[in-house]
Amino acid sequence: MEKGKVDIEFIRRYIRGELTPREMYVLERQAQADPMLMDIILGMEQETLDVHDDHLADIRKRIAECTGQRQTATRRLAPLQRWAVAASILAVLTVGAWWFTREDAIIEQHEATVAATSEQTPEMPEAEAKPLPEPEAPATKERVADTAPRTVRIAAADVAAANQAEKKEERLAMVTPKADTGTGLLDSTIVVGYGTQQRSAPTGVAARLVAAEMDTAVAASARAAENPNKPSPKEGWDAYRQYLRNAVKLAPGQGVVDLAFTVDDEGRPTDIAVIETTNEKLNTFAILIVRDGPRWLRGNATQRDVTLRITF
Amino acid sequence: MSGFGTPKKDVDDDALLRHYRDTGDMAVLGELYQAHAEMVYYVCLRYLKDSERSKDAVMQIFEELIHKVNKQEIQRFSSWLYVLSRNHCLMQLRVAKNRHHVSIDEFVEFPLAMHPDGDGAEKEKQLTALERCMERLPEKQKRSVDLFFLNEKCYKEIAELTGYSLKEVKSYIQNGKRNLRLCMEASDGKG
Repeated sequence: MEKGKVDIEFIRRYIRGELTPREMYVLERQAQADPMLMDIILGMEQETLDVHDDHLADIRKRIAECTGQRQTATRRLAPLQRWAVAASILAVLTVGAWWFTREDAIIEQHEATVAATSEQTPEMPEAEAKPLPEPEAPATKERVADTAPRTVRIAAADVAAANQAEKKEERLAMVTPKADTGTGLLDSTIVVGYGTQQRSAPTGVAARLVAAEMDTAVAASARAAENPNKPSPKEGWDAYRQYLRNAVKLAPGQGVVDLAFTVDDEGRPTDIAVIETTNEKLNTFAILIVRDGPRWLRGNATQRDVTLRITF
Repeated sequence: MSGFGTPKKDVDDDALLRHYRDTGDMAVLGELYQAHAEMVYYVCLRYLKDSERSKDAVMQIFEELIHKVNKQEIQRFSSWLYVLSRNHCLMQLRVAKNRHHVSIDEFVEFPLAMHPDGDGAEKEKQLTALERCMERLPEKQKRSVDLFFLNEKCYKEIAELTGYSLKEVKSYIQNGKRNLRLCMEASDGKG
């Protein structure tokens, strides 16, 4: 933690006694040199965290009233988001089955390509991360054009895409067992989903829920690379993956971190949040990699949320 | 799902600040302040030691922020806001003559700036002085400071190792550090 930058959640974990002695020491040592950090810790120690939460909710309300902010402007929407996630999961169940039967033929064709690529380079599984053929792009465009019940439609598309990716992975594992052994070493990424608008993560989250069940680490969702409406790395996916491959080498451990973020007007990833992690120690590292990494193209205004998996 | 409530957002402080300065839109300033309100609240709580007073202070600091945000140059918003908050609380304590609640001594000591440009001989001299000063510390302070700064133990471990309470450990480290600094300054003056 750089001086002047305080990770409140980390301090909360300190207070809750969830940190290792070493982590506690590091925080305490930093606090000795950083009055702001020290004051926050001492303040937080005054009462229990649930008491703080009540007061903080009150404060947020008062600030919002004072500025005429709509409550939606704050990001404390957890219960709402949970409902949205539940709704999206429902969409998985209903649309998923339909999609599976419909897309089977395309997947067959797809699988052949992927298998061929992997067979050529069995020692380099990141080859999978290259853009795959785009069987689904036309379908996606159709849906975007069709604005009717938008959220549900797009959720369905994302979810189905994730389903498809999952299926792809399963088949890939069957066809090329060699690639499977290499997955632990994979240091590539996937984009598993996009939200429809800022802060409405549910569609991405639904896709993530499905994607999280994948055993293998990489499923290149190349459809995103082609669609100008969605955020994508400014220099292209290949360059971005290369950047990530280099960046993760410095990581202090191994694991998988799923991030969600928004791309701001200047193309910087912002509002970066960890939505799933297998190794807490990597969270900050993952966020910094994306935050300080190459810029992104925003895509159109309603589709800015990006979900990104980084495998260390 | 624990990540939902805590997105990292130090990056867009600048953007929000700029946006507010361009537009004067209070909702934007509100959003910026919301992101730091938790920090401000803890700082207030640390000084005022009362949650209701702290909540009020958070709102007063927001008003102060509105007045000052366009008049001062702000390099890093969070640090600037911290100083604003801390000064507000200290002022309140002074005005309310509540000084007996928190004595100035209790406040966090700023790290001592060792002479970073000192050459090898200078460093050696400082280390000798530091050792001598360490020896002069009261036993409990010496042990706590030694375990923390030199052996890199966390407070909890020090408490377990020494049998002191957690509160005692913190106070020994704080006081030990202050005594060390005074001793070092004295020896520096002599040399």
